[in-house]
Amino acid sequence: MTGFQPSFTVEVDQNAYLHEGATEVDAVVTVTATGEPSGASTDALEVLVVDTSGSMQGERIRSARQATVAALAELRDGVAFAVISGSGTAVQLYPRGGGTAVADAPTRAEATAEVNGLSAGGGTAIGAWLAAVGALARAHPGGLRHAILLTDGKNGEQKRVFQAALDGVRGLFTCDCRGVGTDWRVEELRAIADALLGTVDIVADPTDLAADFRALMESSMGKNTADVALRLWTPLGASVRFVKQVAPTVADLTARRTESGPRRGDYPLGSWGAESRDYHVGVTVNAGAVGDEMLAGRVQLVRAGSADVLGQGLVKAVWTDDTSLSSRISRGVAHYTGQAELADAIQQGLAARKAGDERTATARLGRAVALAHESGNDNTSRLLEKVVDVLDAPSGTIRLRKDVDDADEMTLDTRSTRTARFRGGS
Amino acid sequence: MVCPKCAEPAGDDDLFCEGCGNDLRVRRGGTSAASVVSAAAAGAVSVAEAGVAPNDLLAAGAGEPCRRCGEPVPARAGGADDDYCPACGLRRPDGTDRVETDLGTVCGVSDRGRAHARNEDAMALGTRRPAGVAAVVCDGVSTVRSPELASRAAAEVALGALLADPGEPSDRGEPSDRGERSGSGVPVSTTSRAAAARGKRLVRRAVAEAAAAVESLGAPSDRDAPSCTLVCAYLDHPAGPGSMPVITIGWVGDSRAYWLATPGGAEPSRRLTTDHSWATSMIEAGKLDEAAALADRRAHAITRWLGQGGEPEPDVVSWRPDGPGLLLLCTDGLWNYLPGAEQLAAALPPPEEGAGPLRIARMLTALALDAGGRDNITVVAIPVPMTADVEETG
Repeated sequence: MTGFQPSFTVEVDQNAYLHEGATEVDAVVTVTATGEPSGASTDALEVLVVDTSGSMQGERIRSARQATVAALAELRDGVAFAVISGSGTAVQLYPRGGGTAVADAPTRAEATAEVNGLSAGGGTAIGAWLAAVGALARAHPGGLRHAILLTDGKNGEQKRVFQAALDGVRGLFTCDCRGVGTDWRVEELRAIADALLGTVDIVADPTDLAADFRALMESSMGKNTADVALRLWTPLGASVRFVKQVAPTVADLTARRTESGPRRGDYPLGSWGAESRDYHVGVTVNAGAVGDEMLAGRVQLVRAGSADVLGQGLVKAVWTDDTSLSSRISRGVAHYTGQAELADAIQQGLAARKAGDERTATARLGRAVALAHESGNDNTSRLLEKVVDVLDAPSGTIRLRKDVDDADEMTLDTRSTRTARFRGGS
Repeated sequence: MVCPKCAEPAGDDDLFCEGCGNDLRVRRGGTSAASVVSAAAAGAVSVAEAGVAPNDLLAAGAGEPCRRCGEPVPARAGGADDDYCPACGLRRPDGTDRVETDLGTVCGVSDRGRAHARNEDAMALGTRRPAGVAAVVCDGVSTVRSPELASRAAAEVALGALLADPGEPSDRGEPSDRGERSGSGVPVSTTSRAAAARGKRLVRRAVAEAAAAVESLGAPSDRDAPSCTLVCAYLDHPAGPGSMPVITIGWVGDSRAYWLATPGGAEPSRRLTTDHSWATSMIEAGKLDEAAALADRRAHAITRWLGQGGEPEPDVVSWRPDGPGLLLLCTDGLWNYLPGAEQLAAALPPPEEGAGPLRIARMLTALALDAGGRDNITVVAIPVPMTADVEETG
């Protein structure tokens, strides 16, 4: 069981003042979990899924072995774990008989020996790999359940088969996805990471894999609260326009809602360590009269499937005829509206470029350059500069580059959802 | 009489309640006695001092239909979000949309007005037997978070200091002052100069305590911390009932005090306070004339306030009026419509109507509401000399 309760704070940044007749309420909700990382839970399941398809032969499989061994070394004693070798089917590499092993020095050594014997050959059936992790997660209910998935290629399954497998494991575990090289598909891994509340990233150089896996495992071991959900109550006559995670990355949660009571729905947020994330909540309410104040939303952090409220914030609406109040825009809301548009502009621009539509690509990527510049998202600005020639950043005047490195383009695509954090208040 | 706090019967001359120890020489009322927000909010304000049980306030209005959706609203639990209808989210009245306080000699009305969602003004009124009257009016700064918490805390804390037992060590009055009071219960030989000095000390201490209470609502670096203005009055009778009191006024910000002469009275009508505002500082510095300064959008920005980052230094005046009149404390919700003392005096009912201070406060509030009610309106009226019935009962 978890040895301690992390504490959650919920802060709301908004301009509650609306002009007469206005109905749209926007707020940025910052959720921060604090707690001692040393108290992290051992009631946890870790599954490492390594692509062993034919394309992995050579340096890639060597790097994958090293990375997996590095990740195993980070496993805390007492954590349940397994290693799956993924090709045209999912083969459980450790423990051989199926199920999970409990991490200690002997099991880590046994697993390491098995991993070092891995060889590459066969196809890529990512849906089958996910289903295998799902079976292990079902046998391990309640605690933190996390997987790291490594692949270097395009999924060989039919779209329908893959989607069914992904839908079948939703909510069973969180999954961080890593693509090695440039032959994998960003949209495939992003779909998995989005559905399973994890991250996606590119590891263009296989020799960087070990460090990346070590960091992923460290972060996972630092999580101590499984299955947190954001619960949103809205008043009679209101509708939810969207609920988006906007930091550290953009992820639209709107469609993840499950009803949890009258005018109340829960959005799963996965597991938490000591960290902070921002959400942008958009609600449409019935307009009030000037001088009316209403609660437009109550945002609670709950343990999924329970009545435990870990934190709460209020989103309000106040109607005024004082335009000096209603015309102010919350800086947090403005910032994240821009960051979400930035991610869209990059993804649309790269898709247009791939499709040969240079006009759209130039317009969208130009807009992205301007937004990244304006918001101080320097990491994204640097990635954009590898794909386009920037003539004037503030206005977004750019030229598409003819010779773009595949890895640079995929890195920009993969990391397009990473936002610059807004620091509100004084 | 009965104890206002626990309803235990008490003799008219009793100093303390036999049941709960409440100081029966003191009567007080105002916004906090009507406010469930103060009851629910932590710390700075003790509603119990005003003689109200917090649970009664939390139960107030339970079962009544919501003004917007008609659903009956439950009793409050004391949390942050039970200020709202659980069905449609409309803010529930917190008891302060309209507050009327009648302590006989001092009366006040505080009204939400027609344009603001909350009443962020607060007033606290009180009397202390044998002959002290105090009133505090505060206006929450509406651009910060929860300004009503600042104004309510400031009003309650300042009133508590103004009504503090003169015999208590917290009042550092002259020893002779204290001795005379504790002997007969009526101050007989204190000179008005000494009373003025005592009034100024009291008022400065009241403002300092109120400022500390409001500052405690926010962190030092918090630019959005609750803050408010304050104007307060203390009326003392150094020469006994029926005579003219020594009046001490202290203020921070742009809430005002006026003297409105009874027609033919020897003490002329005038504004007693000078706003700590951008417009006033521009006029005083000779940079703009009054019309230009007041037309500027920054005109109402205040230059002193209670709360984090503010300068809570009060200006204080003390004097004994030469003739009868009405002491008026108000927020800008009233004076924006009637800025001049002569205008306000002309708006009062003629003396032959015999209107008491409650009726006067209601009337002036109605004038501001009829003129548009753009801001919260708070009006406190104290006829001078104080009316006889009060001096009998407290």
